[in-house]
Amino acid sequence: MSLGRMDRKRICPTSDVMQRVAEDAAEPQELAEVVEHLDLCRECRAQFDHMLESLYDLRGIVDAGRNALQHRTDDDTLSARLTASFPSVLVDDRQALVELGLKPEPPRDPTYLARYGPYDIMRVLGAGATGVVLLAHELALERRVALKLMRPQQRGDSDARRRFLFEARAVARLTHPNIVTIHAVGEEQRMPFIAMEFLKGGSLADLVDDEAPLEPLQAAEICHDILVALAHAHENGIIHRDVKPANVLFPDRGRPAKLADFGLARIVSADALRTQEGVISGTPSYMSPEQVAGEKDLGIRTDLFSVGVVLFELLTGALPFQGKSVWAVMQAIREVPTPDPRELRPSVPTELAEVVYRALEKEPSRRFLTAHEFAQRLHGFLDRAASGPEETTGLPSSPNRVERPAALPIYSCSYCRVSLASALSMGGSCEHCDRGICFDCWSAHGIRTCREHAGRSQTASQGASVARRCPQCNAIQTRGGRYCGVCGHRMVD
Amino acid sequence: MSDRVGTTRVSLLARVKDLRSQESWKEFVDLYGPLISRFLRKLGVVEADTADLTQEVFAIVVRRLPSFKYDPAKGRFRGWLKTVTIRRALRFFAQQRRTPLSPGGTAVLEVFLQQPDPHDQLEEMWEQEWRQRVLEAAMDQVRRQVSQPIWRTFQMTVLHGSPAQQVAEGLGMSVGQVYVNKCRVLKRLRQVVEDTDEFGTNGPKAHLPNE
Repeated sequence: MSLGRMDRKRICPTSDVMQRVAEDAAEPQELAEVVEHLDLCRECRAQFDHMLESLYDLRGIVDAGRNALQHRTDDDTLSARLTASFPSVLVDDRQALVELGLKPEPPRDPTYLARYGPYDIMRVLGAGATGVVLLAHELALERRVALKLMRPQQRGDSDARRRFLFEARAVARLTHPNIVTIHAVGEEQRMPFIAMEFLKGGSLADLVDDEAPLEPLQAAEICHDILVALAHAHENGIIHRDVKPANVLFPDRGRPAKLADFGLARIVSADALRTQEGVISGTPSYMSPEQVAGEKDLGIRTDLFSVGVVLFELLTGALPFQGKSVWAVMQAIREVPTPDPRELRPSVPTELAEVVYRALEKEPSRRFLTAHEFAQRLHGFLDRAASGPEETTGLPSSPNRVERPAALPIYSCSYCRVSLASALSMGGSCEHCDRGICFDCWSAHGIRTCREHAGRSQTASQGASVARRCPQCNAIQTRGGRYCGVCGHRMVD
Repeated sequence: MSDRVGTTRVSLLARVKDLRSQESWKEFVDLYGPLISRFLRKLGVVEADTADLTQEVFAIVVRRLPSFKYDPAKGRFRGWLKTVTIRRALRFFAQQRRTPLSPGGTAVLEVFLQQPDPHDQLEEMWEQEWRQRVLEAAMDQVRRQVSQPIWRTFQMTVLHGSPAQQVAEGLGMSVGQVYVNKCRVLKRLRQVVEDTDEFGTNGPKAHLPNE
């Protein structure tokens, strides 16, 4: 039976049918009828409009449309710029290996990329101005290692490679809980490599990206870890030269921080930085004024300046010395007075602001004397923060502020009094009273008693005679001689 | 713009990470670039700085791409991108405040920084921008799936707000047909948006191992 035109107009579809049409789920017959009906029935059209309002986010759609239109030109310009800057980091892993000059042998495990000497290479972890870091699997020991290979232009002649290996071996002798362990140093396919402990917690640079500015307490803790590592290295005659967040790694998210890439900066010529301008890793931002000036004979205080920059950045989220180009940054480091971190972030405690100023003195002799002294200042701050957080964090006490857990306990060596990040940094305990002795005193100097009990046992008296301390900077002397190996002060016989 | 907004977003990430081709990079930039830059513009960052900051956020993302893993139990890419962008913006403001050289725009951020908790408000702004971006991407996709007259109907009635009668005359179709076409597009749009939301909240997620 067919209905006449007027009949169809009169019989309005039920709201169920209308909803099916609105949701694009109607039967063809139904749909045809509604289409025809809507042509004729003003009431149903109004009702249908109303239904659409409730079913769909029309307001949002209109806004999104406007938004897109409004930003179209700017978006297109930006998109072109971003697309053009296809990051070199995103090259294929295999290609990266070929560019390094590696002749990839088939890996033992087919899911890996290639075989390189005793390692199966898994993937590229990162690339910097100095070289490429690969995640590798050490076949013999069934463990993960971070493999650092020098870029071809850094490798140079056999003389450069020999120098690299010499430096790397010196660094490999450093063993400390806050220093990334070097498993092996060697040469494979005429390419020198360093196999390091692989830390899966990412770097401090990642933490800065994600979370800077940090709480003053956390910033001080991390820098304290770095300084403890530096103190150990300095006492062994090694200057880092490239302290920056990317070289501070975490075993997991959080402490303890471990310092990597000791002394490698020396191997890389200054040219590397210049040609790598624009590359994320090639930044002079953490260099000291004397380093920027190209001084050859850098003292340990160049590292202290770099830690100052790191501390400033952790506290404020910004770098103290900035510029549009590498050169401008270098100039700022030498000439621009250190800005007040409290100006950027009023909650920075005055005590830490003072520490930053001291570390960032342009003249090395005005900075902290040693990493140890710098660490002690932070230790003092952390100690006080642990006993009364409100006073020292400088934050206004507000009722809805979540209370921080107390700072981690700080240990100190009962022989040399150096402060330690954790009990892990202890080498052992006193033969007579169980007080802790730091790793340095324990393993490098054979000390087995606390200061009070020194001389009571044979081992201790021998140890004590070996461990001479500088009267000026208190550093343990690893070598004989009339002058302190760290600060150059005359030793008292 | 990608044809595969939504459920395959993870595979876009995967492709950027694993294939590292110019095309997947472009797709990636096209999707998230406008999101980041519009958010920054809304905060009053001037165009030159917006471009720089967007590029910096991408630099961070790229630097971290090699360590991306997909694990349903962990945080998601979307939330991480939000955090990275907001933090970068806040750091930028902190620097601006020190050297108030940039003309205009500072008023917006000053207002923001005077709020008791600027972070919550920034997050809400970001979410709003995200929703719009998702809708817009969905429109882009649906536009290519439907015939031109159907799309034109939607564009004129919904986006431009023209009356159905007028649109019907302009496109030479019946008023009823205008309604049906409009519903078709709306329905598909909602479908695509729902798929996208699924990625954001319930679907497979990307995360960073050290989060």
